[in-house]
Amino acid sequence: MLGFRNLLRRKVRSALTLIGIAVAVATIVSLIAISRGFRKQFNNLLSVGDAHLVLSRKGAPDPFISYLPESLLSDLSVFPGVAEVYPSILGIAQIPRQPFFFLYGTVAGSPLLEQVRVIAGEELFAPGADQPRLCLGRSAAEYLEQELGSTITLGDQEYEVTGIFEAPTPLLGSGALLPLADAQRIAGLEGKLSEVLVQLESFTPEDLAAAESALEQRFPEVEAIEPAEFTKAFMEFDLADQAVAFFSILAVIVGGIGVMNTMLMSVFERTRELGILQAIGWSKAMILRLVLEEGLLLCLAGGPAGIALGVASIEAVGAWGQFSWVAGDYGPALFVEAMIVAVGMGLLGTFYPALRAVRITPIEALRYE
Amino acid sequence: MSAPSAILSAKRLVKTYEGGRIRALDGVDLEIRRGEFLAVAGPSGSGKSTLLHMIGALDRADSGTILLEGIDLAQAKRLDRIRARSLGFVFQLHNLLPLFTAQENVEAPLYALAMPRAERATRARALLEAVGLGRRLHHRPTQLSGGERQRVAIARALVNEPKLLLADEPTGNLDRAAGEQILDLLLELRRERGVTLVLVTHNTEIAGLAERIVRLEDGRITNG
Repeated sequence: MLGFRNLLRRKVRSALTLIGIAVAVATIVSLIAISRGFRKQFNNLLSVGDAHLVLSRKGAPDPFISYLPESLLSDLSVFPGVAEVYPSILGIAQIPRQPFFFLYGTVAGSPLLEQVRVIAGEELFAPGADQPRLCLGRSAAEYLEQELGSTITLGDQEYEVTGIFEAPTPLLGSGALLPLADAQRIAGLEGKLSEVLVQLESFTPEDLAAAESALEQRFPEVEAIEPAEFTKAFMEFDLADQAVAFFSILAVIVGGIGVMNTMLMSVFERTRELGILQAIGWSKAMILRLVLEEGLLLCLAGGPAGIALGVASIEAVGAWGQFSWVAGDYGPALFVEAMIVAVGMGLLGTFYPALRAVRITPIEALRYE
Repeated sequence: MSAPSAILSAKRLVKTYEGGRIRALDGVDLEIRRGEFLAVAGPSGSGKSTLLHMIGALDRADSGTILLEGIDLAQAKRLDRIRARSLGFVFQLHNLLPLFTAQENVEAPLYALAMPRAERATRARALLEAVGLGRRLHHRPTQLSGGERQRVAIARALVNEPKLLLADEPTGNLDRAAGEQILDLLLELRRERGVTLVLVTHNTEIAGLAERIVRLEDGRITNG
């Protein structure tokens, strides 16, 4: 493989270019995986048991900034076809060492609790308890070094940790569950709700669609959506996707320019060699292929390296207690996309240098004598 | 071969540079007979190398015709194919690929002929044996002496079994002893293989070895 040989001849330069490509690919992989991870987490958060619809504030930018009036509940509970309603608060509190302490206020029997498995202490709504209660997610407990019976100050009140739970969604596991009223008070949302989970009496796809439009018609401030598509209700996720796209394009450009720079240098340096090859019978197409091969090889090596780096960096962030709520959503599909980006970057960066290489004539090269 | 047919026939070749201010070739007529050893002599700047580039299909003339084995180089679309199949070059500088071994350098022209790997290797080794470098197959140019490098270049020029071998001051960068050895080798291989050889030189002594000398001055042949 002639291209491979040429890359080896300038090991440091090839390695630096490869790192540049890898960093670009890693940036893209980690940004996309994290943003997809958030979508997936929020969609999974409420996709439990008998929650058929989620109501949030129409036009709310994200699930934490969705405010519905608590008075809605009485109207909802008598709405035709509605079996049960479960109000919830999604809030963020600032506590020492954790500026993003997620609070989940809920009520007894809420489907939200179905994905929670208490591993120490009591359930949030254990019978016979009336003092302030708080169930702490396991990763929050570990990061904050809290255990059963220790206290956390939220707002102006101390809460005893009465239970520790595990949850499949890191967003939940890195936060705390509280009774609705406590969460409202801490988050300063008295009389308000973030989301309402609705259980329907009948929930065929037609029923769901009918209930969605009926609810939205009756309550104009409400957006009703199926839990698995929860994030579609919020603009912020789209903005995040746009930001990811923007930074991905930047990364591709930076990586592509790196490849271009390397390949241009390598072509200019070899003006004579490329001319001589033509003098001994190589066609322009062979020269083009040689240069493209070098650029593509760089990207074929840089792509997997970047994927590995990207995955490692997401995992590293997620393993860091303060950000244990970050979970990348990645898999073969994303890796394939990343390789396509890497190869595209290689072609983009190598195209111009290859054209320059083809423009070299044997005569020009011989004049170097 | 029957009649001493011309392998190459050039008529009224003109090549100018810098928008016509420099007439490197000013109406050159030249016929090269199959199998002959022709020297193109003349002072530097006389147009020798330009002429070599034209008959070597490395560049196109402004006007005039060059027929190489009946193919008009002025009209040919793919000069690279003609170079790959019919021509061999030895330059003043060896012009070897620095990262490649002697054998790989000799194999390089065969890529253009899409020759299978095994055959490439066999041919390259045989030629390196022939130029006395059978034990230097895997040396890189930097590990070889000037004379040895030029031997590799000669092997490379012959590996595609060219009809016409073009040498541009092939000993110009060598000391006298090494230069003589290279010339001896070149002439011996040419005889063995019946290759037509055109050698460009400003050295009259070397030109004197040829069967025929063409002298160039200011882009014209003076002993036509």
